[in-house]
Amino acid sequence: MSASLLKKEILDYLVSIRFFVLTALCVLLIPLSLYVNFETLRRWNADYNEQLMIESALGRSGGRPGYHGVRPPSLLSVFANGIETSLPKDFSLDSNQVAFGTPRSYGDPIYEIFGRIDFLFVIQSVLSLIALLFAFDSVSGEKELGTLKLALANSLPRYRMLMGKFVGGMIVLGAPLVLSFAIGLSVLAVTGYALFQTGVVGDAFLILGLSLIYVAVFFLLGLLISTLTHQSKTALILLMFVWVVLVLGVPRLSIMTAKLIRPVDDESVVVLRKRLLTDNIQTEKGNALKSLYFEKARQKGLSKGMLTFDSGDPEFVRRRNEIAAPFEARLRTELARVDEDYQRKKQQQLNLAHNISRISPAAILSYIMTDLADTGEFVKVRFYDAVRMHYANMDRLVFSKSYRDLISDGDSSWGFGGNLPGSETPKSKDLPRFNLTFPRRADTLAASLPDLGLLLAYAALLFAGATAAFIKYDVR
Amino acid sequence: MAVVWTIARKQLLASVLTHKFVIGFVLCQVLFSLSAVILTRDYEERLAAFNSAVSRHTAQLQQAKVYSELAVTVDRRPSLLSPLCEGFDKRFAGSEEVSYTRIPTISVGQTEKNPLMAALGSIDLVAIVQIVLGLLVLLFAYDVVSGEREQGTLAQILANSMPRHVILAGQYLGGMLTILPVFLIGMGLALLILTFSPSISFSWGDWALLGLIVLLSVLYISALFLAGMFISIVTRRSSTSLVMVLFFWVFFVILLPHVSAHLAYNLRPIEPRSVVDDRARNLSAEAWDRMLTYARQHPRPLHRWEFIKGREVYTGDIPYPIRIYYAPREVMLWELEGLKYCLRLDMEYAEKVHALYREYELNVVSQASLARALARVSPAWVYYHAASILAGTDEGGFMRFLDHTRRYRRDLIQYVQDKGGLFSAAYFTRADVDKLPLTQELDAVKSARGQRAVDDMIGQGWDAVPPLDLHDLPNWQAVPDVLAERVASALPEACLLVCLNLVLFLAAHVALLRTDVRAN
Amino acid sequence: MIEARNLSKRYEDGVLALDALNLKVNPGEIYCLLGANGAGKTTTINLFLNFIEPTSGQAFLNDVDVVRDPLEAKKYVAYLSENVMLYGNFTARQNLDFFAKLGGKRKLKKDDYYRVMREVGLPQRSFEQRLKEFSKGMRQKLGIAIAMIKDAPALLLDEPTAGLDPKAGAEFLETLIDLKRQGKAILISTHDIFRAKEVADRVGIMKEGRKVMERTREELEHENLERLYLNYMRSGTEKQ
Repeated sequence: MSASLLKKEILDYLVSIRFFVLTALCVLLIPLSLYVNFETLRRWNADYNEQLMIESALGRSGGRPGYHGVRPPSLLSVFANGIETSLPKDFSLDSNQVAFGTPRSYGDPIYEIFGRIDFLFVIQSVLSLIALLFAFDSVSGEKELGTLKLALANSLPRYRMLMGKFVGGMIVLGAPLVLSFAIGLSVLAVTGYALFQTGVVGDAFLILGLSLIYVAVFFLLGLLISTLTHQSKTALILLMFVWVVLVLGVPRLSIMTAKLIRPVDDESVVVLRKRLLTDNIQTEKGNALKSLYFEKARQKGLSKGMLTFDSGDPEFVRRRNEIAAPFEARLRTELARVDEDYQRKKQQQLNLAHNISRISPAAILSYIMTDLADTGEFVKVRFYDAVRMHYANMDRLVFSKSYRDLISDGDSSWGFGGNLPGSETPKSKDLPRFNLTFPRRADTLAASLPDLGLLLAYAALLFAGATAAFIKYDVR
Repeated sequence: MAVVWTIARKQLLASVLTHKFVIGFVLCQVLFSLSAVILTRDYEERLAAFNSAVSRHTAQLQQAKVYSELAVTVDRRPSLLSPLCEGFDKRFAGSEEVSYTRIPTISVGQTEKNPLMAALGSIDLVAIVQIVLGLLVLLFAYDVVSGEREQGTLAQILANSMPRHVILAGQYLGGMLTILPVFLIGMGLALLILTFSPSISFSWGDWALLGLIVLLSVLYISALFLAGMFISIVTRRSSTSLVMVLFFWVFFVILLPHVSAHLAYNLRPIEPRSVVDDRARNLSAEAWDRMLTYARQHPRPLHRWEFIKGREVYTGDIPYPIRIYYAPREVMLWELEGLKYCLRLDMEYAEKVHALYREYELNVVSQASLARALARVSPAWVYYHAASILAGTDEGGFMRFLDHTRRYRRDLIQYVQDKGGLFSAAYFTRADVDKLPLTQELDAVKSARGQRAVDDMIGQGWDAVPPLDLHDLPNWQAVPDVLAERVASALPEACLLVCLNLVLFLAAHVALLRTDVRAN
Repeated sequence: MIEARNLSKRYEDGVLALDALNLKVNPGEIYCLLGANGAGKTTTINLFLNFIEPTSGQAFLNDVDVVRDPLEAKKYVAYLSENVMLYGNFTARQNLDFFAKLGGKRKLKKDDYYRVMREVGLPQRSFEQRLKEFSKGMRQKLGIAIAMIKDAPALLLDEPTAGLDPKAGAEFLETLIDLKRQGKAILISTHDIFRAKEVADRVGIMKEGRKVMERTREELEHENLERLYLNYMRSGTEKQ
């Protein structure tokens, strides 16, 4: 009996125009989106390699290894652009700060203006809609046709019928998706994508599996609503609105809501705060060092208004370091604190936005898929951590070995700077290079597990709800 | 005429009494109101950020002590109508720095750092109409004729002696009377919420623009209803019409802009920005090299550091001063000559670099225009574009802002020139160069009366210098926005929508004439 | 075979749709339930099929209580619903095949389906035609075929002759008599007094949820069913 149920469900879809539309859209959009994004990735790779070359060329203007770092683009970004639309692609350092560059996608302004389709978008927006379109009249439609009560006049348990509808629907939804995906991958392979590099195919299949789960969630949603309504038209309107809210509304509104609940200062304010802090502590340091410099000037018999940093006098240097150290340490920690504070607040706001958005399976899908494609939060956090570490290294090797003292005495002010004598700064070629590796798949998967669990929980909940509703459903 | 009203009334009652209408109505109101609340807060925040930026930049300006420090940052006010139609308001930079050597140019990119948001864009009232109401309209229109055909009532209606276009008009009127209240009440609520905000107050001109946007929305809704009705007529069963209508919606409202962007990208490829940046970098390097050459040819005269106070330059050996409080005359003159050369060169190269970016700018704009032209196939995008023009948030608005900024820069430079501050000592110092002593004279004073006497001659330093008197500095004024201009720019799009309505009605009429009215 | 004992159904809003119905249809018997719309005929059938639950009383199919063991009970009954559209994208045979399999008849062949369809009077060319092209009468016939192919000992038919032209109606009656001879218990709910008279072994008239009259075939020989029916529609109680 289950076999015939399944067969009927599948056949019913196959001969309908819905299936034709689904297949057409899949076969058109999926390979196209993959191909377009591969073209973009090629450009990004070329840009990245060029930047690497510039960086490693010593002595040319613009190349300062160690002071500059570039972030590699992810091979899997053909599936989901993710952070490439917002995360800086490079950064440069100086003793005070890290300056970040622009995101990679800014190179193609037209996509900034009109939006870019990637595989994630197709699944998230188009396939979810189609899944709803397949499911909305699953139960209510059969009731309208009179076939529901005909079928249930047999010894067929209701949950079995629902199960048949689910499995049948998923087979019909899944087949074109898998087929188009395969076509898309072939197109990629043929045009030179490194499909057979280690792990890529595995990742692609993970992404495909994830997409199928997502589509199932929406199909179940449609099924649920179908069991709650007695007219297909009502089910449809309800579902369309649910789609608009879940896919279009919640993700966009969640970030606005998070900004309202957890507002964070504008970046320019933080920059100002840091500058003020620097100025204040530098002034205090200057005042503390004043007597030392004046004493040295007197000792050297310099005329008034002349101060000097005597690098040849080790005692002077030692005393200078001793006095300056606590201020410099305080400056470092205070600046770091302002930064951390700001980053933490921003992250809290972002986390809140993400958590609010998790109402929508569409948002959950984007989190998991971007992580799988190495263009998600996981990689973003790694990037910032790596930058911080690199800065710490450079600080240890280079920045801490230089000094900058500002002395002011009422009407006069002097500035001194340079490398601290007695310390060796490494040569350019010995400076650490910024290196960012992509995380291991096991680690990303572990991080995505809660989201995946949530998605599966949605599916389970929806199915349970649909079953409960269907058992009480009035079939007359 | 009475017949039209009879049919319209039947249609209206039939639609309003369904669950589908009630749910649609309630959800639309909730969506409009909720979004209005969030959009208002968002606008308030952006306005507050704008105001604090303006005061910060004004304060910065007050501290300029020499003309070299006169760099004005102009801030772009968030458009008052942006909660209605955000357009590009958030996608272009919020402020531009204007200085002698910095000419503002296009910088596309979002101020929004969240990737989810960045990917999906944000929400505004026009988008809700475009997407949500568009969907609702189609869901009402799809079975307007095919449903009647299936029920057998179409044949019943046509068994009377009235021309088919009358029936069409009746169905259309009924449908519009059903949907329009949903839209008008929702939009009304949203506008009410907006006006409650202390930061938002609409002028008469703004209300006029709002009215026009509402009119455009009605045209859009009408076009979509006619499209749905047309599909309803040409398909045999309402289940087919439904699928076609949804496919239509997905393609024309959701997918088309992306598709047209991609087409435009390939049909009119432009040089990537990195190439332009590269060329700009090379030009800057060239400028720098020339300044170095000059410096080598004009070495610094011998002097003593203790006679120089408050010196800030671009780099040690090149005579390109930012500010110098005091120095012996020959040093000052050297710096002055160097300034004349370097500043002139720098400004010249700024123009060259700007020419590069301007070309890039024009390319981007032309590519975007092509994409937009291709997207004109979709009424949803004609509607959105027209609304964004009226709201002042289309990219034309930003281009006008840029042009205005560039003009302001020229005004600023003229002002400084008139004040004699450009290629003269006033650029970098407040000292009267001709009255400055030479190094040897200062030496004489020092050996005669000691360093103290020299210090007295030199003076306090920059702290004691009051800021420049800038009371007659030309003020940055926001781009004068003429209502008539905006309306005129939006007119072609609006006409397109009107034409679309007419064409669809005609098409529906022809289709109805030729359709088979039997149920099976 | 088909038995109702004091079967009652009162809805939440207080409406008493069925009031203590007592009914028994034996194997090889055709029982026609007559009555106006809303009299309770369809409610009765829905109760037998466990589409709704009775407020009191019991319903049995082949001595199986339909409330206690609905799945078991349904094995013994075949159902024809009124106004059924069936699956428009499938052919007649595909529709028949599906419902046959649901009814437990998994091993039937194409010829078996064709035979049944011929028996109910469907033209050969329609066997592989899609349902959306069927007329109402043809759909009705297919519905009858679906009920027949299950070969269940009990049949519940709701308005089986609605939409059939006189010739098709007469053919249907012959089929019914055939089925009766095979020993099936048949309960028909109908408006069609005339055909009911021709084929029923017993007739029951329902009014406002109660069975107000029952007559056997022999008793009807001497009475005018039409007059009886109309009388009861007017007054509502049995005139003894």
